[in-house]
Amino acid sequence: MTENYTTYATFALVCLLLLTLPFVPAFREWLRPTDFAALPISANYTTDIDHFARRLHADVSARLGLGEPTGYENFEFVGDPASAAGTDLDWRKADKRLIARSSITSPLPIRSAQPVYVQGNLQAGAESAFPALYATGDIDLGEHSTVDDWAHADGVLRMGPRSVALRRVSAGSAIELGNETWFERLHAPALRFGSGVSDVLPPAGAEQAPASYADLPGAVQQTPLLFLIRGDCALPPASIYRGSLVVTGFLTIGAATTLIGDIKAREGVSIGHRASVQGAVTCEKRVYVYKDARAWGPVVSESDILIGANALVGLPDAPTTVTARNIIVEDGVVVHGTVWAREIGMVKQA
Amino acid sequence: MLPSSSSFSSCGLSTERPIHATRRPARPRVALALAVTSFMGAGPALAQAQATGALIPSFKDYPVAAVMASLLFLIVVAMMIYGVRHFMFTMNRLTGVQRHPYIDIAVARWPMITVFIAAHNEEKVIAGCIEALLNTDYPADRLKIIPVNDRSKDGTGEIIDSYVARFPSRISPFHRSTGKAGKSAALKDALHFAEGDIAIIFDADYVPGRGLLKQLVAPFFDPEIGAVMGRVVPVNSGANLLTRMLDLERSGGYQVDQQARMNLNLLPQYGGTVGGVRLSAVEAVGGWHDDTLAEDTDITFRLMLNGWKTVYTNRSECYEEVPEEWSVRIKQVTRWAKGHNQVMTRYWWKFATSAYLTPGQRFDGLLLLFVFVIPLVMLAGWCLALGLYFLNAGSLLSSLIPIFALMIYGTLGNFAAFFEIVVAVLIDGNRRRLRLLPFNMLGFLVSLFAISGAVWSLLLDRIFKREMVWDKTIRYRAKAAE
Repeated sequence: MTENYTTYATFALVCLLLLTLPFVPAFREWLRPTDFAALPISANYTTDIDHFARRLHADVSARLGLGEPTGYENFEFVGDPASAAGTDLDWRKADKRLIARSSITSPLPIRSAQPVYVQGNLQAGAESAFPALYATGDIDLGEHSTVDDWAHADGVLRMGPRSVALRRVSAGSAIELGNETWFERLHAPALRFGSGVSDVLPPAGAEQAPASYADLPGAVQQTPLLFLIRGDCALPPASIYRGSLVVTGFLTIGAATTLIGDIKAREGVSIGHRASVQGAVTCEKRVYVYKDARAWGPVVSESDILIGANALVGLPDAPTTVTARNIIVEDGVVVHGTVWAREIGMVKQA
Repeated sequence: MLPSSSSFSSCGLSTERPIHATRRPARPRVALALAVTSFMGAGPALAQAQATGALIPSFKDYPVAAVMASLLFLIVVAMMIYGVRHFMFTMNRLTGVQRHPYIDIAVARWPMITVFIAAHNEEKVIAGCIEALLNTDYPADRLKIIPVNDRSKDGTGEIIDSYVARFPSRISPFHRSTGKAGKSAALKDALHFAEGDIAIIFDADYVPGRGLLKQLVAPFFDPEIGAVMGRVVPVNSGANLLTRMLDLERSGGYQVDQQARMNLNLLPQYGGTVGGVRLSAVEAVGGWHDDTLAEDTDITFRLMLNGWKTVYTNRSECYEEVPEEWSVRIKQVTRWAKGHNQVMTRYWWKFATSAYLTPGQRFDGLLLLFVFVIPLVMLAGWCLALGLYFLNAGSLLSSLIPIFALMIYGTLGNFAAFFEIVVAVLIDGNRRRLRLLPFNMLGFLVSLFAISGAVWSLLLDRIFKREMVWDKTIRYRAKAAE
């Protein structure tokens, strides 16, 4: 009998120990807190693409005595005989960020190990490489050039064919990327892809016949301006629809058809040749924007977006966003605003 | 399928009779059984307090014990379903594809929106919220701010008017001195003054960051989206033990639970603040209801069952204050529980039969709907287990108790199971605060009884046709500043 009680007591003690053991560190953390701060949220956080460019600009301004101190004002000057970069022009040996106080033109490649700030234009030959680059004028890099972190030009930023522009690339005026260039995130009032020859056609117009989503088979009116269709949906060519549309299957928009409103298709969207969507395009799968088509945007896909030659996305006075996991754009495409490929984007020769 | 009795024997647990049947003096056993079963309203079972060798006591010989055992079995199954759900969410957050489809929309022709600030006696915090909204990067000409001053008796109205005097083109005040009490009623009245189709709603203690409005509005470019929810982060997490526990709980609820539901294309929930709704969608599903304590849950489920989607944007973070006193916390949880269960009773069948939902969405939505009933069910399970133990109801109990204990441990957190909390806090990069996790079990126990009380109170409200009262959560910011 005594043995039984001993067993019970031991069992109870072990249970008690196991239960109280986790409370030891808990009590210590409670009485002497080591990790209690609120999760940090930056009040000024935005997704502005030129965030790093503005920070470098602020550091340079401080270094040149033109702005408030930032605490990060350690630079070397390109062309200054007293500096390593100025004496032998071996950009790869610089151990500080570089400032060039005038334009740089080099038919040879420039391969810098440090971020470079140029007051003026920068023109560099093929196979140039920069971790980060800022120019108050234009930037013109030859073919096979590389930007690893970010680049910004207050004017036009050009990169030749087969270049690689990783992370953030922005410009105050325009970005022009040559064929077979890889990119991630681009932002400028105008993004031109490919050979630089864009041949955007005027919008389709006079021949379009008015049509209504209500006449489509299985259409359900959700609100006065929104229709839902379960399954696939094909809109006939040369029609004009007003209102927004949600399709649970694949949506095919016929050639030269115009939709005035937002569209969503879960299984895929195809915007036909010379078709136009004057609103947002959202899709959980692949979006095809055919040759010469238009979308006012945003154009959002959780998968891939393929934009055909000479298609136009956004408007000069209403920039927009194209975002997907992968984005392929063909020669002659123009986008006003931002293109954001979460994994990779590529310019494809048409 | 239940394991065979031989499997128990092989583990040393004989099924011939319960392990304690011959080791406990008979008289105290009977007394305990009387107490427990009386407490549970199962007094007649006393007469059947006999050992049985079957997995479930036979209905013929021991009807009460058999019913109790069957109910306990169902409760264990329900707990296991919730446990598996939480585990799946956690694993999805760790290894699945993370969906943030709209977060990259940085540039667009932004629509006209109206931001409502729900305020009732908010003189301590209202200025901070208005200031933050005035500083957002959303185009000023597309943004109208409406502070909803709902019958405040402190200086809230004067503070709002002082901002209106300084920014007359940006702020349109809505002062409400009469009418039905409560946030949902006040918002219902104020929504008539919205401009544009998008209404973003903040409680007055929230401090939105510069880029938050664009992030919350971006999903509405998708015409299928009816509501959007951002992430809520406690700003006063370090105030005391309670706030630190709530901080852990919020992490689990948002960082893992909501984001996993977003990833899996299930049903993220609109939480009534740090979020917004499409007004045409709200109108299409019957308008804003002011007869509920949880207008956010009400609108979430009505939108979903009518074919609209809700979106959770985990990176759209905003600070809030969490209760610093247990009494306030209990009132808050009680209000949530009553409001949520009100929604559950209204819509569960419509939701279960909605033609717009996938089977997965339907199943997860129903689990979400019933989440504030589970604490009461869990309490019932405990009572059943105890009752059966003292009734010596059979070896089924011997196998159920460990499972039940495990599931309780996993699902005791009604708002976020423990493994969700662990993973969420690690994703957030806060490792050491996890040491407090055992205290959360105690916190969940408090919630358990508060929610169970709320369910009971809701039943009484129904029976006696009592009107439900909105208990406002008090603010602490001025105290902290002192």
